[in-house]
This record gives sequence, C-alpha cells and structure tokens, in this order.
Amino acid sequence: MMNKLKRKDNLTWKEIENQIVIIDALTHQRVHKLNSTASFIWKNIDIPREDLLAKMEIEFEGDHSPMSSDLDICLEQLMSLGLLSER
Amino acid sequence: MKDNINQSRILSDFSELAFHKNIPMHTTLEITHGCNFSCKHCYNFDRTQKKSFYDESEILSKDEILNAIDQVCEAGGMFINLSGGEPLTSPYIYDYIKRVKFNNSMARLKTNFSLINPERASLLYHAGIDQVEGSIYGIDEKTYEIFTSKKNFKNSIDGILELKKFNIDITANIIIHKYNYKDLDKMITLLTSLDVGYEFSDEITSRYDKSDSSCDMQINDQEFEELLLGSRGEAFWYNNKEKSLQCSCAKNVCAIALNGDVYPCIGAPIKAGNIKEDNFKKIWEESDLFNEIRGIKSANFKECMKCDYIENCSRSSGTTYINTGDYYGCDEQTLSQAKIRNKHKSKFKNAK
Repeated sequence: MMNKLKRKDNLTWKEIENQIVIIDALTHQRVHKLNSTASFIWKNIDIPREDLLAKMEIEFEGDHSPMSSDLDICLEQLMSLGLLSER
Repeated sequence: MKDNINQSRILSDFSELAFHKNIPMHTTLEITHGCNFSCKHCYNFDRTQKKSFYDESEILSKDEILNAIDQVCEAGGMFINLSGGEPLTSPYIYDYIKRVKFNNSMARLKTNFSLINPERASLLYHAGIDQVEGSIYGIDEKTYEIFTSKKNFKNSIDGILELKKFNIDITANIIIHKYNYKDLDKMITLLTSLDVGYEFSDEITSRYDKSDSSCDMQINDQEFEELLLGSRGEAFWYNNKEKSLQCSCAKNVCAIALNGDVYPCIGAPIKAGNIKEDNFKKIWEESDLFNEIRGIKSANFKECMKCDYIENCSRSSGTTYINTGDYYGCDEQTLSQAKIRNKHKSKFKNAK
C-alpha cells in the first residue's frame, strides 16, 4: 500500500525542529500540524512500506506489530485529510 | 468546516518558532522592476523620473532568481512573496511560481491586479499559485489616475474577478493616501461584495533611490485623526503596552532585491550581502548586519525608551530607516500618529 501513496501536489509544507506544518491552499489554506511520528512518516512517504517500518522501529524504538498499526492509522488519517493521493 | 482560530494559532506558533530559530519563513523576492503603473508612492524609485533603478548588468537573471528561490526554500522559506515592480510584467513569473511549488513552499504574488486577464489567471492557477495579494488604490478611475498615473481601476477589479473564477485565495491591500482616505468604507464595501479579504495601510515611505516625493501622498495628521475617530477607528489604534520594539527583520523575515542584495526586510533596504557573491544561507547565518539586528535590545532604541508615546507607537524599523537613515531612530510621522492616538486613548480603553 505504502508505495502507492504520495503527497498531494501543490501542498506547502516545512519542518522546523521535527514539527511539520502543511498548508493546503486548494482547501482555502487549511493548515495541519503533524506530530513527530506523522512528521517522520510524511518525510519518508516515498520509500517502500517495509523500509519505512524498519526506519520507524529504529527511530522510535518500537516493536514491529504496533508500529505497523500506527503507520496504517496515520496513513488513513492523512488520506482522510486529503493530503495524500494514489500514485 | 475549517476551525479558523485553531488554524491561525498553528501558523502563528510556527511563525514564532521560526522567529526564535532565525528561519527566513517569510521572504520577498523582487523579480522585476518593470511596472505598468507609475505610482507616486512607489518605494522602489521615482517612476516619473526614470525607467529603472539598477543597470541592466546588475539585475538578477532568470537562472539566478530560480537559484535564489531554491536557496531560500532550502533555508526554511515557507511563504515566498514574488514582488516587483509588477511581477506579471516578467515573462518568467510562471517559472518562478512553479519553482516555489517544487520546493514545497507557498507561492504568493504581489500585484496591482490590473494585468490579470482570463489567460493570465489560468496560467497562474496552473503554475500553482497559492495566494495573490494585490494593492487597491481607490474606488474610481479618477483616484487611480492621480495615484498610479493610469486609469486602471476597472482592469484591477476585473483582474480580481478572473482570479476568483479559479478560486484563488486573494487579499486586497488597500493603500490609504490623501486622495482616497475618505473612500475607505466604499473600498471595503466593494471588496466585501466581491468576497475578497482585505487589509489596509497608510504607510507611505521615502524611496530606495532616496527621493521622497512619494511622501506627498501621505495622509496628514488631521486626516489620520479623522480616520482614528471614524467608523474604522479601531483599525488605526495601536496598543504597545509591552513597549516592544523588535520587529521580525532578519528573524523570520527576509528579502532579496532585484540586484541580489539581501535585506532584513523588503521595507528595510540595508545590504547584508549579495547572492551573486555568497550563497543565501551563508549571508543569512553569518552576516554581521543580520546578527546585529538579531541581538537588538530595547536599550538600543534610545529615543524610543524615553518617549512618552511609546505605548501608542506603531514604529517599524524599516520605515524609520528608509525615512531617516537610522534603524534605531524616530520617524516624524509615526511619532505624530502615536501622539494623536495618545490624545484619544480614552475612546479606545477597551480596544486590544
């Protein structure tokens, strides 16, 4: 699933000190602030799912199964906010 | 539905973080000095006297501007204001917008609206423009002609309407001057009827070329007082009880002039370096000027600290610098307005 998703075109996003803020101009400047886990996923969204999970396990020192669940929840939320699209 | 308060708080918190971390979050790039107007108040140079401010050889090339966009965005530039002159006179404006978007930043156009026709509105939309901020100078052709030397009121309003067809986010910046200040309500009514957000400013300064006939357009003290006591009075009120004097210059704001000079703000044309000679990051991080500005303390503003009107003063270091040559000094018109506010402070005791 992972590598079928990409960031939606034309979003504005910047990171300061592990905080990512995204502005979606096409939805009248809707603003989103990501927590550190979502920020990590957002930055690495282009890599294959299993590679991302491995990176998450190292970054957050977590186990595979709960991390996989966190990843799916995060992706679902990002999708529901209209920030991701299918490749 | 969008939670505007929460959305606004996210951005203001992020902007404050950028302020404390010295990240050039809001950066203005001059991409041309060409303009179809000859505004009397223009801060670039006296357009009634000459056609350009820089020699052709000094002006940044298209590739240099694209490179500057990359460097600013890499340094954390989130809101990139493409300014002029009138940026739509540049044949490369759409390339610049696309480059800003390629860098995941927000492309904002500073325009006078008048050149936006159906074709240009479509090109802006498809290039990925995020926001258009345009100046409005009056409510009729007569006022436009006095102030901009061109009858472009209708063209400007038509430009707004073309942008709206593409649902592009627009803010109109009403420039208040002595020939339109009585029409403020009419201008606001018009913009509201077009469903366009607005801001207004009565700040008109001397120019980069040191000429100051632009200031002939300023409202005088009596006219300011009329505005302060009028129906929009609260917008002209200013409360600075914290006696805060440091602005965002060189903290989370920056500007690059058409010749590559890097300034702490587009309103404060003090050269910190030039991107033809050094990369932007080096200038931003290492410039003596920028580091001096970042280290400013209230005590540096000697005149302000002993001024009785500081609590009502809307002082801007850029305006003060360009009008007086002293970044830490006192601008006469700003002081006059602070005195007028102070005189009427009882009327605004519940204002923020």
